[in-house]
Amino acid sequence: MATQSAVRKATIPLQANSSANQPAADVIIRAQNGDLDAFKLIYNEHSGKVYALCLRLMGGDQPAATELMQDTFIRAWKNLGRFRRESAFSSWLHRLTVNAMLENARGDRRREARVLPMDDTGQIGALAPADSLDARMDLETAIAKLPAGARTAFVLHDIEGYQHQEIAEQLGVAVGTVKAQVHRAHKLLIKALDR
Amino acid sequence: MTEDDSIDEARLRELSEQAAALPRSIDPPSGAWAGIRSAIEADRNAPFDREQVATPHPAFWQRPIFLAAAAVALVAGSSVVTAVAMREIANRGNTVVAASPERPSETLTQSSSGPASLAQFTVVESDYLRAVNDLSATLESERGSLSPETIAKLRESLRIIDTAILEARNALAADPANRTLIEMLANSYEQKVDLLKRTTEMGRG
Repeated sequence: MATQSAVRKATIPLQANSSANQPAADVIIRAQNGDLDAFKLIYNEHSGKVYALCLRLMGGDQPAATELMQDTFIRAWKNLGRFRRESAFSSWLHRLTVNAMLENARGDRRREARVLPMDDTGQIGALAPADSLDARMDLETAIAKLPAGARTAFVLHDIEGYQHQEIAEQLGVAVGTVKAQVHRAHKLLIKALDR
Repeated sequence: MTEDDSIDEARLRELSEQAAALPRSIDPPSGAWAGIRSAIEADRNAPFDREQVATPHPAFWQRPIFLAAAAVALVAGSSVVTAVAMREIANRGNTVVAASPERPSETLTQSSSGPASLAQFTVVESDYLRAVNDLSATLESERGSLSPETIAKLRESLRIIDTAILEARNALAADPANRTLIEMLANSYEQKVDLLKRTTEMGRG
């Protein structure tokens, strides 16, 4: 048993690198069978992208983003048996991330009112002085200061590349709401960046 | 949209380009994995939930088109690597060493009384996984002796076989007693072991 365990801990570079968004089947199967070391290989491969998504969804709040990422991977571990190759593994993880964010927000009454409603009239706050940040940081800062609904829609649409319809299905809102939120985000971001 | 809602198209394009250029990956805090691991281990008293594996979706693998495509992909993938390997060996003027290591599925494929369920197959599967790991480790240590073309073909073939393995494994999770699926899965593993074995032998040749 000990030998088998040791063998299973060995990494398999040739296979693990076989696809950019897809862990090797062996690694997934091992994780599905309860092998935590295999799951760590999956974590190592995907945590950067998941954390970037969490950080943006949580408006740049690092502790909250870390907590959301951890929640996502714990959910992934528990639901790994449901993963199917019909979608890329990274897309499956992204969906888990957004679901975790939404569920956490629903459990937090303060956030609940800010996730998607259109009556959120929040404005992007003053940015840090432009000469102290490069353009990328300006944009990250402006995104972080968007109202939650607009931020979620913008991050999923403009950064992660999802279609309006996909976002609407994932968030459980009308397509028109998503389009309006994306438009609102564009408007607020341009206004903030042009200051 | 009111006039007030309009956005300058050029500025919008610029914004979209900037957004698309943002980094898609950011390193998480170094201690994040430890927290995940602790939470999982704390929850380990509960057995791995195999019930979750079941799916309400139709069994896609039952479609003839999938079975045919999977079979073609496996044969094609394996054949391409074999062809490249054989050519490389021929170029070196060596003889192919006959494959001799043990085959985990021998009792399964040569007998009609193989594993009758996913639970039983898991025992055989662990042997396959061990063989794959051992061969992969050996291959990794010998990859310097393989041509980039062979390595590329090997990777592509492994990707095809891995896809077939995972499809069959997921389908089996929904239908654990399906012997056809068990056989498909065993054949896919067998293909993988053979492919790795042949390539390893070629590297030594």
